[in-house]
Amino acid sequence: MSGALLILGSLLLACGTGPSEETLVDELRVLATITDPPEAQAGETVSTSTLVVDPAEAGYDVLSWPCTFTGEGCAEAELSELSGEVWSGLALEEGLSGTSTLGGSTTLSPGLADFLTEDPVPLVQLWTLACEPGLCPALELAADAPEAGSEAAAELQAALSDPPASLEALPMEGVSLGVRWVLASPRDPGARLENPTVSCEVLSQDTEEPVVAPGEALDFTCFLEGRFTGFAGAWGYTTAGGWEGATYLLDPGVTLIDYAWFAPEEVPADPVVPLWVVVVDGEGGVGLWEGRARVEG
Amino acid sequence: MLRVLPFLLMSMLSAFAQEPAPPGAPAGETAEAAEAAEAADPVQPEAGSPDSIAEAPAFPRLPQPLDIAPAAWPPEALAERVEATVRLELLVSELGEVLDARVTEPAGRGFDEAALLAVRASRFEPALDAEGQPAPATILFDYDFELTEVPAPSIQGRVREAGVRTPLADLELTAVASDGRRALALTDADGRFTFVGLEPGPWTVVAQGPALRTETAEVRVEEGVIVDLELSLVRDARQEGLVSAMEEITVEAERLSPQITERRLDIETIEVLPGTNGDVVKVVQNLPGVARAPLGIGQLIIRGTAPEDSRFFLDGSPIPLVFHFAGLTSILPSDVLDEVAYIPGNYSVRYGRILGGLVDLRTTSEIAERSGGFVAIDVYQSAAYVEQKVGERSVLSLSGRRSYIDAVLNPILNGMDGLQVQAPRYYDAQARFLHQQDDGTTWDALAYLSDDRFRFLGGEEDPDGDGEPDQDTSTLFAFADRFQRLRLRRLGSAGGDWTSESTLSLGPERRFFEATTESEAEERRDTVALRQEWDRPLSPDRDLGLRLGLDVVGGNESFLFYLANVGPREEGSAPFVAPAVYGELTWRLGRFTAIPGLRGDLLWYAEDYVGQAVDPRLGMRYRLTDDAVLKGAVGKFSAPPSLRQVSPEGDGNPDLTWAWSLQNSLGIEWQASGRLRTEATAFYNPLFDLVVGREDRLRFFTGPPPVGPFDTEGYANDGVGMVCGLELLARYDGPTSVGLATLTLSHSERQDRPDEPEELFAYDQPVVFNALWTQLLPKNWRLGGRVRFSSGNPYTEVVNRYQDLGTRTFQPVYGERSGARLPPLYGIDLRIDKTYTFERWRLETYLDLQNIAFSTQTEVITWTYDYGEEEPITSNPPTPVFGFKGEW
Repeated sequence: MSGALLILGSLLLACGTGPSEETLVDELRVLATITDPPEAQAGETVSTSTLVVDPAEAGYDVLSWPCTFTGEGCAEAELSELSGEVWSGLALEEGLSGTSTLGGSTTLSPGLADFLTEDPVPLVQLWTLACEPGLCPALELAADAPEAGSEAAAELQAALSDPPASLEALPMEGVSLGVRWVLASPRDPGARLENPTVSCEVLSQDTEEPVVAPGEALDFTCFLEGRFTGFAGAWGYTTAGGWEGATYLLDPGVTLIDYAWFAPEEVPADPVVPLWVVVVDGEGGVGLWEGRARVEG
Repeated sequence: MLRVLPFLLMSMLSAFAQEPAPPGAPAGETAEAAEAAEAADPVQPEAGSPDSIAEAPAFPRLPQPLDIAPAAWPPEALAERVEATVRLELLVSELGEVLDARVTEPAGRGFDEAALLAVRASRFEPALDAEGQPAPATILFDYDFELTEVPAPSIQGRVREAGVRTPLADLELTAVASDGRRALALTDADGRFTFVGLEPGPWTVVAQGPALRTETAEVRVEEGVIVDLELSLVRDARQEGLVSAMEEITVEAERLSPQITERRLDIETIEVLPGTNGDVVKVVQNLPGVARAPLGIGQLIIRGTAPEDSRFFLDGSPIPLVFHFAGLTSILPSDVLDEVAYIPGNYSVRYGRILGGLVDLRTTSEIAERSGGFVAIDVYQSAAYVEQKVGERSVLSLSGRRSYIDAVLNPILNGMDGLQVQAPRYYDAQARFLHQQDDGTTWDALAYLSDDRFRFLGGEEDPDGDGEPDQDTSTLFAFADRFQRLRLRRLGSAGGDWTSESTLSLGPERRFFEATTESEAEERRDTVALRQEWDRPLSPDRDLGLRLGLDVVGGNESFLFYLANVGPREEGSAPFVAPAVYGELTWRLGRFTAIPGLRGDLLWYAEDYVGQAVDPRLGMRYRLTDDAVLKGAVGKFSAPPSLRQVSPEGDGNPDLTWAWSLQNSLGIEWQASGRLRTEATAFYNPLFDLVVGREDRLRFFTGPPPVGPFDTEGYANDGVGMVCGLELLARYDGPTSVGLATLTLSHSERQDRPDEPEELFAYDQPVVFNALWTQLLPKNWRLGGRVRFSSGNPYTEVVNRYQDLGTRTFQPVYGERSGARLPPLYGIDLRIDKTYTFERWRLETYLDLQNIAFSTQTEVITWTYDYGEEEPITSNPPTPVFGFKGEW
C-alpha cells in the first residue's frame, strides 16, 4: 500500500507550476554547443559555438576536442602518430571567467565517406570540458602540449578517448563536461538538416532588456523556425530566478510558444540577469537565444 | 425404569465375610449385603483404590441408593427393543456422591456410557463405619435397562460453539434441580443431547467444556412436555492457550516430506500476527532466508536470489500473480487456504523451473463440517466469503474482494485541472466446488481471477460526451495486470499403497502498460498446465517410498515492448510447451533417511528455441536424538530463459541455455524443550549460466525503479554468482503466547560478464532480523508486536556526470558497482485485536500499527535531473490499518 501511495504522491508532486530549479544555472556549466551546419558531409568543416556559464565567476579553462567514433575509440587518437599531433582538433582556452561563447571549427574526416548511409548518422562527438583551474589533469596535460608518442601524450589521449571515465576521479563541482554529436551524411546542403532558430521577447515591453519586479513573471513569447519532431523542446536557463518548467515540449509545426521567466524574490547583486533558451528540434539541430532582463525593486 | 440391586457389596468382600456384623448396623441391610455377596461374583477392588476403602475394617451400613438418576436409552438399542444390565463399581463418598465409577461387566451398544452418566449423577446414603460415622466405600452396582421403564425425554437440544456454530461433541451437560438432584447428558457428534426422566419443576442446565466459557440455562420441566434447548458456548482463546501460531512442522519420520527445510504456516493463527494486515502470505517475509522486500511489497527475495528467481505455487502449480499491485494484499482469501509452505531451497523434484526458493499455498481438501462465511472490511478493501455444504460430501464456496482506494482518492485527486487519476483499484474472485467420494477420492474445481488497474488521464476522460472513454486522447499512462484460472484437481488412490494427484489448470494472463498513444508494453500468456503425480509414501512397515510425476505446461506466449523514441520495438509471439518428468525415492535406514530425486525438463518455443535441463537432487536426514535432527542436501536447480530473451523476432538470443544453481545446505533442528524449538541452517549456492544483458530495456518490474549502471549488451549466459549464509530460527509456543525470532546472515555476489569484477548482488542484505510476539490477554484481547532490522541494499554511486547537449539529458558517471549501501531498516509494528462472540456469529476487530517508531527506509537512490545530488526514495510511513471481520 505504501508503495502505491508513494508512486501516487510522486506523480502529484510533479504537477506543480512555478520556476523550475532545473533552469537555474548556479555553477560552472557547458550550456550549449551549436554546430553549423548540424549535418555535414565527410571532409566538410563545420563551425562550432560553445556557451559556457560561470555564475560564480570563479574562473575556468576550457578544453574542446572532436572524437570521430570508430566503434572502439576515437580516430583522432589512432591517427596521432601519422599526423604528429597529440589530438587533431584539440583546443584549449585558459583564464576565462563569467559567461563565454567560444568559437571554433572541426573538419569531418574524409574517411567517413565509407561509412555514410542515406540517412544522417551521428559519427563525430564534440566534447567540451570546462574546469576551474587545477581541477582537471587533462587540461594541464593539454596546456603542456606534450609531444606525440610521449607518455604524457598517451595519458592525455586516454583521457580524451573516454571522457566519462576520466570524470570518475574528478569532483562534481567546478567541472562540467558536455558532448554534441555532429551528424554525417552524403546529402547535399539543400536537403540536409538545419539548425532551428529561436527568438524571444516580451511583447508588452519594446526593449531588449525588459524589466520585472522581484518574484514577478515575465511572459516571453518565443518565435520558432524549424522542423520539430520526436522529443523536440525548448529549455530555458538563467543564473537567477527560473523559467516556468524545465522543458517546453514542441509539437510539430509550432511557430511560437509562451514561456514565462520568474524573477528572483530579491534583486540580485547584478540586476541584469542573463537568459537563454535552447531549442532542440529532435533530429539533431539546436538553436540558441540569448537575452537578459532587469530586476527592479 | 431401572432396578437397583437390592444388594450392595462392600469392596473388601472377603474381609467383610469374616467379620461379624458390627453392633448397631441394620440387620436387614447386613443380611442383604451378605446375600448379595453370595449372589454376586466376588469383586476385588482395583489396584490403587482409595486408601480409605482398603483400610476400611467393616461397614455396619453400606451406601444406600437415595436418588438414582435415570439413564437415557441408547437410541439404536431402544429401537431394537434390547434390554441390558451394566455392572459398575462405584466409589461413594461420605457425602453420598459418586466420586468414581467404572464398568466391570459391560453390556455394549451404548448402555455402558449411559449407565456411567446416570450413576455419576446419582446420590446415595453414605456408608457408616464401625463408629457410625459416614465413610467412603466402594460397591458393586447393577444398572438395569428394562423396556418396561424407559424414561421419557425431558430436555433435549443441541450445543454449538458461539459465533461459528460448530457442533460441540462429547460435551458433558449437567441438569440440577432446586433440591440438588442432578442428571448428566453427553452431546453426540452432532452436538445433540437429551435429559430423560427429570422430575417436573425448575432445573438449571449447565454446559461447560475445556477452553469454553460455562453456559447455564433455566428451564421448567413439566410432565409430558419435552423442553427444547439450544446452547451456544463461547470459546475462550486464553483458556485454550494459543495453539502453535507458527506451525513450523519439522519433517518427521512418520510424515516425511521430500523437503529438507519446509516451514508450514498454519492459516488460522498467522493471520493475527502483527505487521501484515492479516495477510497470511506476507507472513513468509518474517522467516529466515527471506530478505526484506522494498516498499513493503510482496516480493520473494530468498537466499540471495532475485525476486523473479523464486515463485509462488498453488498446490504445486505456479500461479501468475499472488499479490495485488505487487504487495497490497494476496489475491486468495485466507479461508481458501489450509497452509502456507515456505521452502527456501533444496526442494523436491516436484518443483522446478526456478533457481531460488518457493512458497506453496495449499488449499484444504477436507469437506467443511458446516456452512459458513465471513465479511471483512478495512480501510482499503472489503471481502466476502461464503461456504455452503451441498449434502454431506460436497461444499461450494464463493468469495470476492474489491478495493475502494479509487473511490476514496479519485474525487480528491481529480480536483486538479486538466488531470484525471484513476487510483489503483483491484478485485479478485474465487469459486470452488469440492466433492469427496465415499472411497476418499476428492474432486476439486477452483476458478479464480484477479484484476489490477491504474490509469492516469489527461483532460477529460470522455471528451465526446458519448459515454465512452476516449483512451486515445485521454490516457497519459495506464497499467493493468489480470488473469483468470480454472483448475481441476483429483486426489485419490491409484491402487494399492499408491495415491494419485491429477491437476489441470488453464487460463489467460495479461499485463500491459501504455503511455500516451505510442509507448506500450504487454506480456500475455495463455497456458494449459497438467500435473500428474503418483506417490507411495513411507509407512511404519515400509522403508522405501516413491514419487513419480509428470509436469507439463504449454500454450502461447507473446510480448511487446516499445518506449517511444527510446530503444527498438521488441515484439514476439510463440507457442510453447514445457514438459517435465520427475521421480523421487525416500529410503529410510534406521535413523538415517535419504531422498534422492531426478527431474528432467524441456522447453520448446515453436521452432526457434529448444532448451533442456536435468536436475539431480539429494536430501538426507539423520535423527541424532529424539529431539535433534541433522539434515543436509545438495541439488541442481534450473530455470529457463524467457521468450523475450530467446526470441529472434525481438532482440533475443536463441542459443541461451538454462541458468542453474547448485544448492547445498546443512542444518540441525533441535527441540530444546516442549515449548522451544530452534533451528540452524547453513547454505552455499553457486549460480551458473545466468542470463545477463539488455538491462536498459523497457520491462515490467516490481519495486523501486531500476537504476544503472546497466548492462546493455545482448543476452548471454555469461553471469555467475555465489550465495552463502546462515539461518537461525527460534520459536516459542506458550500456553497464551507465541514468539518467533529469526536471523539471517548472508552474502550474495554476482559477476555479470567474465571480464567484469565480482560485485554485490542488488538485493544482498547481510543481516536480516525479525522478532514477533503475540500474547493473549483476558476477555479475548490479543496484543502482538514485531521488531525488524535489515541491512540496506547495495547500490552504485554516481560520482560525476556530463550532458548530451543535443538531447539536453545528463548522463551519469558511475563509481564502483554496488560500492555503496543504503541505510539499514529498523521498524516496530504493533497489532491489537479483540474478538466478540455472539450466539450466531463472531466479530473480530483489529488495529495494525505499522512502523510506530517512525523510522524511514531508503528504498532506492535516485538523483536530481543533473545527477548533482542524491534524492533518496523513502518508504515505511507509519500506517494504521483498522478492520473488522464478521464470521458465521
